Amino acid sequence: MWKCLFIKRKLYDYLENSLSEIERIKVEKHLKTCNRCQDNLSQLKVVIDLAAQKKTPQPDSDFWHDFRIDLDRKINERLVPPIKAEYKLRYLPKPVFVYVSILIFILVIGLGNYFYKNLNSNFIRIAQQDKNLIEEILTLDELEDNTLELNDNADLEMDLEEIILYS
Amino acid sequence: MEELNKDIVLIERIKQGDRASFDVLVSLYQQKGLEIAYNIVGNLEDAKDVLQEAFVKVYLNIKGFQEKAKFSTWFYRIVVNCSLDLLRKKKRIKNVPIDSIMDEDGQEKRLDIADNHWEPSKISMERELARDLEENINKLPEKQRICFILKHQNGLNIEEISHILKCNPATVKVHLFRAVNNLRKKISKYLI
Repeated sequence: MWKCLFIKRKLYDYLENSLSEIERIKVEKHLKTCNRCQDNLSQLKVVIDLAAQKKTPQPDSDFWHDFRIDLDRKINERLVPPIKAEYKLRYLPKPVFVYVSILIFILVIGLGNYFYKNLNSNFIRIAQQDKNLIEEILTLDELEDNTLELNDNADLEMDLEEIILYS
Repeated sequence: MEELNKDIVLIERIKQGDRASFDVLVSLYQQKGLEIAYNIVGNLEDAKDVLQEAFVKVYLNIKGFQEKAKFSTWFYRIVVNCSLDLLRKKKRIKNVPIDSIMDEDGQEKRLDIADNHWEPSKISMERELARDLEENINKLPEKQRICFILKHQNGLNIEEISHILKCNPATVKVHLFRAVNNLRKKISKYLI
């Protein structure tokens, strides 16, 4: 069995005639007595013979003529890349200007937000003061109205008193 | 040796920009390159694309080629790499349509084997066997497959294959041994 294992590893080289003389004799001697190794050998030979029989294409001159034309075109394309029509902006700002613009924009937004909040509170305060003021005015108006009424009544009473006195 | 000298002369002229010499070089290696590409990628159209790509790379990189190396080895390496790149792009293993096993006179060819342990009973079985073998070749691990194809379908020797794949000749032999034994196991059902 060990001998079969040893011979099995040599069978491919035996078929390729790449064994030394001594090894070749050993293999042939073993093959005479071992059917299993003979089967292995014949199977290997079938594989190799079948693979070698595979047909490869033998194209005609027209094929090669077209082949050369395509090949020349591909080489020329690689040597000189095709000119692509590119749309370029007339004015393309430099990256530095872009960054500065973005920074200024952020600052403006930030400052604007800050001032808006502050102004807003002032306006609210003013409005509140105005509101208080308005309430005061309204109150005073009411008071004045009441006073006038009282005055009117006072006048009436005085008129009545005068009438009584002078009647 | 004469062939080697001829290649060197042509390459020198190509390096100086002689396009006509490049055409001559193409005509010398186009058939062999096509066969290698065809056996790897599996169809003529892809093989043509691969071969064109290989020649373009040769033309663009010829100035980096060192004359002490064989041009054929360098070129076949480019063909193999371009073929593998194409297969990886497609991510599928192509099956080659098996032509009938005919000899030059158009007669059905029986396999020539040393002994009589295997005799195909039907011609259709031979075709099925050939088809099955081709499918299993395509399923081999990449290194085994390339070594097997270059050796047994393209007729290169172990030294040439080792230069193409940039590995030891012993490594190539191991790949070949494993490939052949794997294939033998796969098709053994036909051979019982």
